[in-house]
Amino acid sequence: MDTNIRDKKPFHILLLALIFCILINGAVWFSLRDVRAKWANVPPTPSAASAALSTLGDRQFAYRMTTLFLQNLGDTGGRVTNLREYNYIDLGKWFDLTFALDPYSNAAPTVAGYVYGANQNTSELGPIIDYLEKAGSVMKPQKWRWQLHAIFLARHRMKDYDRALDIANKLANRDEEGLPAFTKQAPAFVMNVKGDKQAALMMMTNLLKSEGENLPPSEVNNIIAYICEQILSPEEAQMHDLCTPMR
Amino acid sequence: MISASLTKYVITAAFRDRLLVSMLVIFAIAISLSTFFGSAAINEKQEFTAVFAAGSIRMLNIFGLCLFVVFFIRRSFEAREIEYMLTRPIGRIKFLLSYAIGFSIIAIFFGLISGLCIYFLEPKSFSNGHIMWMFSICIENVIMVNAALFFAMILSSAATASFTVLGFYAVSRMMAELLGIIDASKQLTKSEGLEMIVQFVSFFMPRLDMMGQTSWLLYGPSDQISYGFLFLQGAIYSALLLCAAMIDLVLRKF
Repeated sequence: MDTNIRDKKPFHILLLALIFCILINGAVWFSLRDVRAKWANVPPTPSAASAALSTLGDRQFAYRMTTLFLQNLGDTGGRVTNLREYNYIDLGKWFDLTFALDPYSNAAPTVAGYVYGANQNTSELGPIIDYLEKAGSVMKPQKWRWQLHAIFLARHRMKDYDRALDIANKLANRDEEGLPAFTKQAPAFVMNVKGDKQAALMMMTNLLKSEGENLPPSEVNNIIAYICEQILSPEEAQMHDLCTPMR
Repeated sequence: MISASLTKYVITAAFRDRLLVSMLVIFAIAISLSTFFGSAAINEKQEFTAVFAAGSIRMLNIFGLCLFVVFFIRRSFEAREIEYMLTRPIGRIKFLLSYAIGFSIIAIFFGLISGLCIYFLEPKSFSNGHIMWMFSICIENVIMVNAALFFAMILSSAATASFTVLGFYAVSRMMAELLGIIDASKQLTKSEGLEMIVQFVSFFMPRLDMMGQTSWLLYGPSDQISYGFLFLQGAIYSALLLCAAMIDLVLRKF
């Protein structure tokens, strides 16, 4: 009987200690429940060497990780961040990093052009236009389309005609075989200040007509969405043939 | 020069320790996660998947193989298996070479399995880059199992040997970037002492950064790297590590 009581005593103390720990844990949980990582805007950009070190020297792996990071930046943990809130100068440095890691891939230019290029605060698009111009300067098949996208953003979104004309001249003077004829007319499109929306529409539909069969389906969908949601108004989109499948 | 029965014993031990099953399960998890993350990309989904799968499988090969080699060797020492085997009519060099060949066969086998995994992930995009990637993974695995064998022979703790061999792997893969940083910082700062230390360390390190590059899967093999270079690097570093391990074993007093 005496032994039994001695055995039970430490058990009761341990049980009390366990209940106390659970209560303390509950108090900590309630006090931290609403504490979350704050959106501290675009973080500082590492160098290409540092980014490669983070993936044990595999630059392609670092490129893919960085691009996926940029695609989801600000929209993680149940948070959705307005594009106006991003620091586009820092964002431009991140895209320059992706260019240093892999200048041939089209994944980062797609994120730059179709995600960050949609910012309604058009005065901030400069670093994106600079990056797209650089991404398009690589002499590989279909890379010119990023220069065309840069012209589109500069001419029709940012209304920086000088910048648009500068890129358009580079595109027109591009020494590359198999370029569609309308790339040679890019400076003329830029200088045609009248009919702003029609010129933008023509530029993007020409891209679809000439390269639609060669581009990946995801990018074709991006272009169509851009035409239907960014260039055309909802009423115009309802009437446009391209936007019919989206309705 | 080697004992076929000892080599067979090592290969049997790998199957007995469920190395094949556990590695296949880990590869399957890596491929599944890579497919998941790849499908989250808005463009080039297949490229993302291939790079993530290849990069993670490459590292998992090293983790799995090195841990197996280190723990197998340390367990053999602790169970006095090695002492027992050396009492048989077999020389110490013959014993170590037989073990090294056994581990290398396992390493090449998992290199081939890795190549097949990447092939089945996207058979349509199979190219010369895939073949070179698979070949270089086989060579890298061989170098690293020999490094694991060396560290497991000279270090008495399995945990210390494991950390050392994984550290050796990490530094080997980062060496090009570290040397690049040294060259770039010459114009900015004077740190000749540190520079000499890194140069000295790099002298004994294989250039694993030039092997198994995931960019080969997308853009084809690099012009700077050939099969001859990969094979030579594997042969040189395996010979260097095995010589060092043999000297340690020959001088060891049981």
